[in-house]
Amino acid sequence: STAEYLAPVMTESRFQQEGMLTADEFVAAGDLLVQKCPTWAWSGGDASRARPHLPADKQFLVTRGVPCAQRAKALAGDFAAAHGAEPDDDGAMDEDGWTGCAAPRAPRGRAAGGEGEATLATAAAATTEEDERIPSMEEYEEADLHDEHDGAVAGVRTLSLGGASNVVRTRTYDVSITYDKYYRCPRVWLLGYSEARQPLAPAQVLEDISTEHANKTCTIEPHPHLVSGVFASIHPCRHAEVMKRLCEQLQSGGAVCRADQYLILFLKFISTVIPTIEYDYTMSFEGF
Amino acid sequence: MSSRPGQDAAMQPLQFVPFSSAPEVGFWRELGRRKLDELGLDDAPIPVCARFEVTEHGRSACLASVDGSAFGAADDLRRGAPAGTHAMIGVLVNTNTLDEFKRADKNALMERAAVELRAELTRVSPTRLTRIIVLTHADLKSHEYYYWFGFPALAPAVPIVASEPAPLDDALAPLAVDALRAAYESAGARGAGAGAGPAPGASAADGEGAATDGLSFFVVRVRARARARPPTVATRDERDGVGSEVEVATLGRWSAWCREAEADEDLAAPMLAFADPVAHGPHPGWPLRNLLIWARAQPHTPQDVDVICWREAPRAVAGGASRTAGGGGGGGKCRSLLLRARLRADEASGVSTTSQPVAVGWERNARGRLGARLVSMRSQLDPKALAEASV
Repeated sequence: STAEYLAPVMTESRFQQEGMLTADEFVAAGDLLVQKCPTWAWSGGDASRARPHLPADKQFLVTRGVPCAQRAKALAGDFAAAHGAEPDDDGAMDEDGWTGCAAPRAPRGRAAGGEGEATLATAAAATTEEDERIPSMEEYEEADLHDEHDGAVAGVRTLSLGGASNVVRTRTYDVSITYDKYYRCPRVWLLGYSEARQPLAPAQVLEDISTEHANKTCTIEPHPHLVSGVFASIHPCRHAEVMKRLCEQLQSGGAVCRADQYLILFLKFISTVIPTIEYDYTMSFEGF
Repeated sequence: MSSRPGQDAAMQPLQFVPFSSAPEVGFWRELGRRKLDELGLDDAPIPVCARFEVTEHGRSACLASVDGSAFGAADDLRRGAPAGTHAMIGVLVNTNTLDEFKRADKNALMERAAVELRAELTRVSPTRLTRIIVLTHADLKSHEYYYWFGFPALAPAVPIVASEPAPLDDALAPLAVDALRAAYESAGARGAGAGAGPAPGASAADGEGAATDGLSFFVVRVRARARARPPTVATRDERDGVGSEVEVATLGRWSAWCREAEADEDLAAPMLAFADPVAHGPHPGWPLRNLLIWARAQPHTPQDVDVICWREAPRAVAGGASRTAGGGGGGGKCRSLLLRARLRADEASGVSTTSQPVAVGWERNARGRLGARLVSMRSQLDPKALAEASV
């Protein structure tokens, strides 16, 4: 990131030619994203990490608590089973950039039941030494609180019977998008929490990145605008290239591709890298 | 509206979706830092603030998140609340030892909150109806944090009953829902922004509490014509064309509007409304509990009150004038609910004004029992683990 620190701020638009964004274009694209899709919000981050080329209150974009019900690998497995083929490891990426991987998205709101068990099994398999050291918290349960007599809590009866509650707990992610001054494009950062709100270890985060990308394009790094937390980042070295190609495809189909629509398109592309993290990427690209 | 036959029989004890705590890494880091640098062995309660938001994420939980900015004086916290989020004010008690954490009198903590909540009931414009308690023990050597969140709600002697919630747009004409959204958002922009940012139009009556609490709670008044009649009776013309006949105000107007409705038969009774962090499902979110108790304590509150569970995520503040047809025309379907709550059952069912009031709201653990939780931040905060991870 020294290189990023030293890189000059690009001022002239190179969106059409190279699929890159200036800082100003990033802000404009972020404004449009936030407007189209209110689950995304601007954040100022920690003041000590503020970058001067971005407005103080618009340092990066963030969406929090994004559900992630199953692991990317399970999804790839589903896909392969459905198509009678092994997931393609390298081919897709080399042939058509990242857009080639056509992994289907996790269907939203899938019922608990069998699916949930599979998820739990996967999560259990990934339990690190860390989790095993955590003692059972049963001894911290209390039986004589006023709450025992409170009948106005929805879902408690099923809970106390040990069954599933109507609230299905899943992994959740905080997803943020920063502006990378060196690569001159947006960059995605992931911070995951387990079903029990335990931050995910890097190896666990990799489970939610499609197998094609997990060990190639994903790095673990400190967040450029936050002083705490370990984030997985999708490395931006090929973002501009892919974005340029996507735009060209759209344009050859007669669509207009503006720089402020960059992030909307970008998120569609990123959804192929993190297919089970269910952030909203469904806003239409055309027609506005 | 929703005048089903035998409505009384259909009223059932109202159940609420409890808050689920969602502490972020930054919160634990900041607690650890404060423990080292400022708190030391001091275990007196310190002010904290959690936030919730109305969201369209497909989840039925009611999330209360706390991050590194959760600590500080209440007034600062309110000012710093990000747009679109709602503040919950409360206290954090950080015990020095694990034993103290375990032995801490959780009922006593709730009772203290109950007394403060009861004081809010007498206020015309309550500002602290949504509260939190955080009990923690920070093991700084192992980067482990024991914690238990509570979301105090006054427990009435007799549960409040209500009708089954129905979709809001069944009860209000579609255009009235749009008008309500516009009035709510403009009232919210005025309240939260305090001059900053564009506050389009001015349709809602102003109130005292607006500048402090965003619009977590509000009051809605709809002209009779804007209410949907049964489809067999209403013509299309009647259902449409309601324009701006929806008024939104802060809670400070509640009693006055109730009184006006009593006096003037042409005025509809006002509705109570709250920003509901629950996105789906038939149960309203936790913040409604204290709101109903408050409303019951107000003069002029009628026996039955319509309550709007407002589940429309805020549309982003359009940059300037680009609130075009697509943005203002109310795209997307309405997910809010309407229910009718019986608030004046009988006087004895309320919260006692003399004896110790009771509050509930300790969060249940992953097993569904009342119990504390533990989180390890080693992978996030331990310099050694960080060094290993960043290879």
